[in-house]
Amino acid sequence: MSAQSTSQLIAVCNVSQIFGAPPEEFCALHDVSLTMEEGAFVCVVGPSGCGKSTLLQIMAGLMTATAGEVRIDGEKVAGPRPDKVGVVFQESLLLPWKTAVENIEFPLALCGVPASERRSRANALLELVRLIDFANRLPDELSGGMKQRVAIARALVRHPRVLLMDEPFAALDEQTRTRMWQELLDIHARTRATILFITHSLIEAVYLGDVVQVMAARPGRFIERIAIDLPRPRTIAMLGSERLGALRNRIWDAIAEPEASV
Amino acid sequence: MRQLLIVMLVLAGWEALARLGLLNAVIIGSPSLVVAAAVKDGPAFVSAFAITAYEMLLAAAIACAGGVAVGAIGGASTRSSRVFSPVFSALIALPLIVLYPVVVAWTGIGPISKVIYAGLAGFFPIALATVSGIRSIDLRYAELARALGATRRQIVIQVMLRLALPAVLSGLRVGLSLVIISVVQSEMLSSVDGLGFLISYHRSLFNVGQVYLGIILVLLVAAAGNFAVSALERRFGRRPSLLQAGA
Repeated sequence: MSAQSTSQLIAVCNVSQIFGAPPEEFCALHDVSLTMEEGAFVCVVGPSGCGKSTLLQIMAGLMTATAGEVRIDGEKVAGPRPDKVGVVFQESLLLPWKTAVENIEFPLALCGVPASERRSRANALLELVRLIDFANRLPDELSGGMKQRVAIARALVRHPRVLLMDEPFAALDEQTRTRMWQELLDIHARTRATILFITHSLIEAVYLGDVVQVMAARPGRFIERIAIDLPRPRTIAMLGSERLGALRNRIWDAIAEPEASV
Repeated sequence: MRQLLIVMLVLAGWEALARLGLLNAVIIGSPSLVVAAAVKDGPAFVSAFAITAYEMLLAAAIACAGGVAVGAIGGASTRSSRVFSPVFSALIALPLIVLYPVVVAWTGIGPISKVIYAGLAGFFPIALATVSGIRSIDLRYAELARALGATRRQIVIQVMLRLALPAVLSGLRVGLSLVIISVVQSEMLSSVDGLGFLISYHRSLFNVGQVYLGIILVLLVAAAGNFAVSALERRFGRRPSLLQAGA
């Protein structure tokens, strides 16, 4: 197990998660393993209730797995590690009384970074997500897409080794979502961030990822790993391409008949 | 300006009715009697005002600090709030005045007994509002803060309490009113000083002017308390205003 984890940035090793006590226990994850190299963009796709979010919570150190372990940089995850893992949820969860720049500074304030350094690091990230002109707006004054961009900036402000995203664009309208795809691909290209992206949208998974991990439910498990051979940079035109459609159908087949792949 | 005019008119009407003998000045008083009382017993009222204000501030500080602290702990931990909430809810229905003789027996009739009694009266609504405020916030904020590296203490103080602040403030409004009421009430019951004591003392001597002077001073204290809470609500209340964004 340890020999494998040293060569990888992230190693999820045989993770299982069981909720509840024996008579009514529920197996949310069963023997899930995953490795990610530096700079990888891995999408996890599966039906709702398949344990995608549970996996993310375990990787973020927000939940302890019943069995197995997660290693980042060879170090076992045992609790939240904001210096190693940045998290973006479906809701932006910006603190409503703080401005955009103050929200991005928040993780730095929590660990006692001096105010001037906080401001300059937050401003650099506002530049990255192209919201520098909105630095002093409150969340209520930002659009849904802008809020999510601030949430991404907040997740990146401590320079984590990996960015975990849990259906971050699911609550946005389609046009905004498409723009956010470009935005995220651009951020990925510029920062070479390592990203694990959870979604239930097949198109989204294929369009964004280098690899799509397909999950099945009850118990939650990986049933297929599909390498996406679409070239980068990805462009809007590819959304209508035959290759993308074929990959999407392959994932659909895997999800539609999970029994056959076990 | 118009408000001032209305006050003047009311005062003038009051004085006129009393002078013309249409109302019994011994019962209803008159503005000139109040002025005469202020001239005669001004220093006594000033020092009583200071004592009452001091008792109220101390009691308010105890009620706020204790109520918010206990409410935050009770609200943040599921176990304790299940234990505390029914107890609190039962206690809030208790007429606290029945405890006042006990407090006096413990601490005497000086300012301390007022501070303890009023602090206790203000504590319960503030603690209850804080518990329910924290219980009603979106727990995903707490999880996010944990993922961002916040300690348990930082989560409670910097995220949960701040999110619950509008609810805490409405508890503060009730709690501070009870503090003001309870201080004056307890001073009227058994005491040797303070505005409540002076009102009660002069009432027994039929010094109508002094009674009204005391009442007016209590009204001023209540208005000041109300103003302070309103200012807090404007700054931290339900609606994050667009005005403060520019600042």
